Amino acid sequence: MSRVAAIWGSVWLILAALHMRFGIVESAWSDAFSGGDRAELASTIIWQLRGVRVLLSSSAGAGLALAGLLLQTWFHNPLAGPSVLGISSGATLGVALSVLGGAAILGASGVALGALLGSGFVLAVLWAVSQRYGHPVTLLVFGLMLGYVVGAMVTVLQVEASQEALQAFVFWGMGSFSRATWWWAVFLGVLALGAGGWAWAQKRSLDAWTLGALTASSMGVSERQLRTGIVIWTGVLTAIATAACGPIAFLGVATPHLVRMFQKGRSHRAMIPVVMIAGAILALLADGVVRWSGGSWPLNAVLSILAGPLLVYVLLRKTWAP
Amino acid sequence: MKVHSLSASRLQCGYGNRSVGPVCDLNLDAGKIHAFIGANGAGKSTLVRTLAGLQPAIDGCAKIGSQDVHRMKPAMRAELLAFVSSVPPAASGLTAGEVLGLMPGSREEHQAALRDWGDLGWWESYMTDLSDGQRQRVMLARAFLQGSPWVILDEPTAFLDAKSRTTLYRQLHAMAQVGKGIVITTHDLHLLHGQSSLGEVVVVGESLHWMDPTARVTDWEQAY
Repeated sequence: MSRVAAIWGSVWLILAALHMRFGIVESAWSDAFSGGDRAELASTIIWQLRGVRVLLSSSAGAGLALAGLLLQTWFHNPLAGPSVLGISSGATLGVALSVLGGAAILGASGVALGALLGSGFVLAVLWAVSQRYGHPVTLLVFGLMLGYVVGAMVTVLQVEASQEALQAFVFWGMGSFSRATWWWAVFLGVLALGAGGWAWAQKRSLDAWTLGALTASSMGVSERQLRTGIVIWTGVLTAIATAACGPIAFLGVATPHLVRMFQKGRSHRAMIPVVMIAGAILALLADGVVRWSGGSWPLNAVLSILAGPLLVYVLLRKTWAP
Repeated sequence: MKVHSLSASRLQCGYGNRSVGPVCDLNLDAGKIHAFIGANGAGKSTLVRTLAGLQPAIDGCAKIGSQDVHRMKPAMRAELLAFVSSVPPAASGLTAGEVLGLMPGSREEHQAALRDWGDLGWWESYMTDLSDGQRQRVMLARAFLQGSPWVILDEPTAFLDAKSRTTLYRQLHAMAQVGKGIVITTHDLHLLHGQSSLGEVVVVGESLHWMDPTARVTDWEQAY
C-alpha cells in the first residue's frame, strides 16, 4: 500500500510543481528565491496565485474523491458520487436564488453564500430524513428526486432572469478553480483531511459494510453512527467544495474507479489515502488543461471528457466492486 | 464454558407495523443445535434476524441471559452473537483474506479457518470472483472466527455442496460440544435428521410447534 501511495504522491508533487512553475507569466523557481523586485513578483505569482489554486484544486479533488468512495461503499453502488445525495443540487438552487433572484449585488461572496445556504439546507433535510428512513435506497431516491425538483425550480428562475444574471449563473455551473482564495483553499484542505481522518478511523466498519448491512451489524458496526458520519462528512465536503469551485462533475464518481484500475487492494485501508491523492491529481490535471486553454475551457467539460470514457471502460470491465 | 440461554418472550417479529410469523416464547439452551423449520414465507428468517438483534421487534423481547439483544450496543452484541445471512455478499470488493482479517485473531488463525471451511487458495481471491457457495463458506469461517458463544445461521446449507454440508454439521457439532449455542433455519430436513447435538426442532407456522427431534422427517413435514 505504502509504495503505491508513494507513487501517487510523487505524481501529485510533480503536477503541483509544474502548475506553479508554468503559466502566462514566465517565472522560474530561481526568480522567486533571488533578490529584488523580480523575486517579489515571481513569488507573488507562484505562491499567491498559482499556489493557492493548486491547494484549492487539490483539496477539492481529494475531498470529492473521498466523498465518492464513501458513498459508493455506503450505497453498494459504483455510480454513487457526491451529486447523488442532492447536496450539489441544493447548492445550485442557492446560487440560482442568489444570482438569478437578484441578490447579485453581493458579488462573488453572494454566490458562495448562496451555495452554502442551499447545500446546508439540503444537508439538514437529508440528515433528518436519514435518521427516520435509514435505508440506502430511500436516501438515493430522495437525493435524485430533490435533484429533479431543484432542476425544475432553477429552470423557472432562469426564464425569469435577466441576460447578465443568466450568464453569470451558467458560468458558475461550469465549475472553476480560478476563484481561489487562501481562506477557501485552507478551509477545504483542513476539511478534506478531517474527513480523511474520520474515514481512516472507520476503515474496518466501512470494509464490514461492503459485506451487507446485516452482516456488518452482526460484526458490531453501528449502522446509525456510520450513516450519520457519511452523510455529514460527504455533505459538508460537497457543500464547501461547491461553494468554492462550483458544482464539480464526475471527479467524485470517477476517482475511486481510476484507483481500482491500478491496484489490487480494495480494502478501505488501501483505498482511502490513494483515492484522496488521486482525486487531487485528477483535479490538477483537469485544471492544467483549463489553464493551457488560457482559462477559456470550462472545468466541468474537461473533467467530463477525461472521466466519462473512463467510467464506461470501468463498467465494461466490471472492475467496480466497491 | 458457561453460556447463557437465548430466550424470547412474547416476541412478535415484523417490519414497521406489519407482523411476520407467530408470537414466540422460546428458551434455547447452549450446547445444542436448535433448528427452525417451516414453509417458505413462514417467518423463519425474520425470526432469527430478530433473535440476533439485527432488526427491531414489534413487541416482546429477545434475551441472552438477562440482557436484551435489542438494547445492547452493536459491539457488545457482536461479542455474544455471530450471524450468517442466507445470502452471501454479492458486491464486496474485498478478498477472502481481507474479509477474515476483519475478525479478531492472528493471520495464522484466519488462514486455518479458511482451510477448515474452504480452501487456502481463496485467500487472495476477490469475493466477487468466488462462487456463491465458496463465498458462503468464507462467511461461515468469518462468523466462527468471531468467537461468540452464540452463532445464528440462516439457511447455511442453501448454497453448499454435499461435502461442505457434512463439514458444516461436523463443525456445528464440535461447537455445541464445547458449550456454544447454535441456531439454524433449514429446509434440508434429511440432513438435519439424526444429527448429534440436536436440540429443539421447531416448526414456524401459525404458531410454533415443537417437534420430537427423534421423530421421522415425514412427521416433521406433517406440522408444516
